[in-house]
Amino acid sequence: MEDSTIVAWEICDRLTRKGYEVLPPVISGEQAVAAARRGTPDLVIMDIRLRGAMDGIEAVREIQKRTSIPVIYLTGNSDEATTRRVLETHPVAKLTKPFDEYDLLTAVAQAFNQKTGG
Amino acid sequence: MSFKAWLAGLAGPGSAIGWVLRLSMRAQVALVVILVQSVIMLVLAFVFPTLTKRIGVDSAAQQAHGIASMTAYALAPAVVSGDRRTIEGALEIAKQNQDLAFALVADSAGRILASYQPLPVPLQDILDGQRFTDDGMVTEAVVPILSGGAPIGYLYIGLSLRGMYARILRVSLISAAIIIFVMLFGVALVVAGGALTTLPLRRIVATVNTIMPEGLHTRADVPEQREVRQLAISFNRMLDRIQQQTDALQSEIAERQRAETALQESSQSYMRLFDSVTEAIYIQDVKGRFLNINRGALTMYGYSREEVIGQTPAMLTAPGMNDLDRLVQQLDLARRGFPQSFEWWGKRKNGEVFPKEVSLNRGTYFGQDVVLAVARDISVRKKTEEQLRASLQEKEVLLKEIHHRVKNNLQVISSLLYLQSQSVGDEAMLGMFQDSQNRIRSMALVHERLYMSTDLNRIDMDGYLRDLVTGLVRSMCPLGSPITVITAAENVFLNIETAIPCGLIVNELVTNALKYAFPAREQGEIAVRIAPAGSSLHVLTVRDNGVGLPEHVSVEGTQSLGLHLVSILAAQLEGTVETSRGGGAMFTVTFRGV
Repeated sequence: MEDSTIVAWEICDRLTRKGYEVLPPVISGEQAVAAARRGTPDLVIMDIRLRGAMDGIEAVREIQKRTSIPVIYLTGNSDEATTRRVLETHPVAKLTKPFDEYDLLTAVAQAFNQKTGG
Repeated sequence: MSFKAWLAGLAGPGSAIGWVLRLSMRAQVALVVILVQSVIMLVLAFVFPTLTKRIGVDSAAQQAHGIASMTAYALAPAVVSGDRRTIEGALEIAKQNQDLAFALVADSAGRILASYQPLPVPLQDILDGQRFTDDGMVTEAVVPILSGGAPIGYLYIGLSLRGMYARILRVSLISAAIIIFVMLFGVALVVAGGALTTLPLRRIVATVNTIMPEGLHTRADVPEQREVRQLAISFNRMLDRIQQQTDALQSEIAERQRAETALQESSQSYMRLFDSVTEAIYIQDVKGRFLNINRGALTMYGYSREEVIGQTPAMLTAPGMNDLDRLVQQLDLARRGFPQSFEWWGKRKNGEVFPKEVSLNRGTYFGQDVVLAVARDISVRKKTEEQLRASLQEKEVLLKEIHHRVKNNLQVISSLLYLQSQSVGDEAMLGMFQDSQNRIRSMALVHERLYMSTDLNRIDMDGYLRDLVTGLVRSMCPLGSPITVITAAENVFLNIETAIPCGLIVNELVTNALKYAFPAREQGEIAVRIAPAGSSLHVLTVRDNGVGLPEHVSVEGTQSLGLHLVSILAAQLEGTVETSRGGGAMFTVTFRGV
C-alpha cells in the first residue's frame, strides 16, 4: 500500500519484473483489509501514512486478526510511539523512504524465506 | 541610717543646714554673729545674775553674822547685869542698818529680853534650828552671847535681801541693754562689711548675668583686691576658653547639621529610588529575614511592608514547587560574594502562584551584611515564551511536513521516470533515465534528512554522503562488486542551499567514476571527502584509483552533462573545480558553504 499510487505502481512493477505476483495497489487501510481478505496474499507491503481514518499499522492489525501474513512497512517518519506500534505487529522489515530496489528486494526475499523456512 | 546618709540628710535641700548653706555669705556671717552673741547673752542673762545673787546672799549672810557677833559682844555685860535698857539701846543701834528685818535677844533659858519686829515662829523652834523665814528674801544669823567663855544668851538677827536684789536687777538690765546694742551693732557691722567685701564678687555675678543676654564677649572688670582680682582674671580666662570651645562647638554643630541634612537627602533619594523600581527588591539579613522590601515587592505580592518585615522568603514562596535545599545553598553562595540567578515560583497574598526570576547579591545595609534579592515577575514572559515555543513547534511540524511532501513528490517523479524507462529498449537511454533518477534521489535524500533531523536548518553531511553513495553503488554496480566507496565528512553541517548542489556534484562525480574509472570492473576505491577549510570555505574531493581521466576530458567545455552540471553547480556555490590526473582521477571543489 502506498499513498502515492505512482510510487506504488513502481514498486509493483519492480516486484512483477522479479517474478512476484502482485495484487493491484490500494490507497486506504479499509481497502487494504478488504483486498487482503479477498486475495489472501503471502506478503503485505504497507505504508504507515494512508488516506482515511485507518493508518497502516491499524490495517495490519486488522489483517492479522484473520491470518498471520508477514508485513513490510514503508515509512517516511518514525517517531518513538510509531516505532513501538510497528514492532508490536512483528514486521519482517521497516524500509525508510527513499529506499531503493536493493532494500526492497532484500526485504521481500527475507519475508518469503521466513515463510518457507518457518 | 549610715553616717554618710545622715550627713547628707543634714545638708539636704529640705533640712535647716541645707537652708543655711544656701544663704548668701553675708547672711551666713550675720547668722553666726547673732548666734555667738545670743550664746553670750544667754550666759549673761542666766549665769551672771545667779552668780551675782549667790555672791550677794553670801555677803549678806557674812554681814549679818558680823553685825550679830559685834552686837552680841557689845550686849554681853548688859545681859549679865540684866540691863534691858542697854540691850534695847544696842538693838536701836543695830536698827540703823536699813536692811535689818528683825532682831531678838534671849537669855540662855529662852526668855526674850528684847526684840525688833515680832517673831514669825515660836522661839523654841528657832533654837531647834528652824529659820525665821523661808521665802529666801531674808538672811539670818544666830550667835551666842558669851560671858567668861560660857553662853548666857542668844542674839538673832535677820537682814532683808530685797535691796540687794533690786541692785542686782538694775545692773542686769543695764548689761542686757549694752548686749543688745552690741549685738545690733555687730549685725550691722557684718552686713555693712559683708556688703563692702562681696561687692567685687557681686560685680562678677552681675557680669555673668549680663553674659546671658549679651553673649560671651563680655568680660568681668578686674578689681584691686588680690583674691577677687585673681578670681576675675581666672573667670575671664575661663570665659575665653568657653568662647573658644563654644565657637568650635557651634561650627561642629553646623557641620553635623549639614551632614545630617545631606544624609537625610541621601536616605530619601535612596528610598525614592528603592521604591521607584518596578522589580521587587528584598533586603535579607544573614538569617534570611526581610529587613526591608520596596514598593515593587509590595505590589507584586499584595502584602503591606509591616506584614513582610521580619519574615523569611517562605512567606512569598509557592509551597512544594521549589527546591528549598538549593535555595539555602544559593543564599549561602550569594552571602559569600558569588551572585546567584535562578527562576522561582512565588505566591501572592491572594494565593496566586506565579513564576519569577530572582538574582541574589551580597551587600551591606546600614552597616549590616545582607543579601540583596531582586525578583521580576515573569508570568507574561513565560506565557509569551510558551506561545512562541508552541508557535515555533507548529511551524517546525509544518516545515517537516513540507520536506516530507517535497521528498514524496521527488519520489513520484523518480517513479514516473522509472515507469517511463520500462518502455525504453535502448541501453544508453535506460542509463540516462537511471542517471536522472539518481539525481532526483540525491535531492530527495536532503529533504529526507531534514525532516528526520531535529535541526531543520542543517544537514549532517557525513550521514547524507553515506546514504547517497550507497544508493549509487547499489543502482549502478551488480551485487558483490569489488568497487568500494569511502565517505568522510565528519562534523560538516550544511544548509539546504549548499547541501543540494553539493550532493548533486558528488552524485555526478561518483557516477562518472563508477562508470568510467574501472572499465575492467577490477578492484577499485572511490573516496569522497568534505572538510572545512576555514572562513566558511569547504573542500570537497572525489578521488578514484582507476584509469585516470582521458586527456581530452576537462570540466570546462565538456560535452558531458555530468561534468557540465559539476561546473555550473560549483559556480552556484561560488566555488572552483580542479582536476588532477596522477594515479587515477581527482576532483577538488572548493566552495563557500554555510
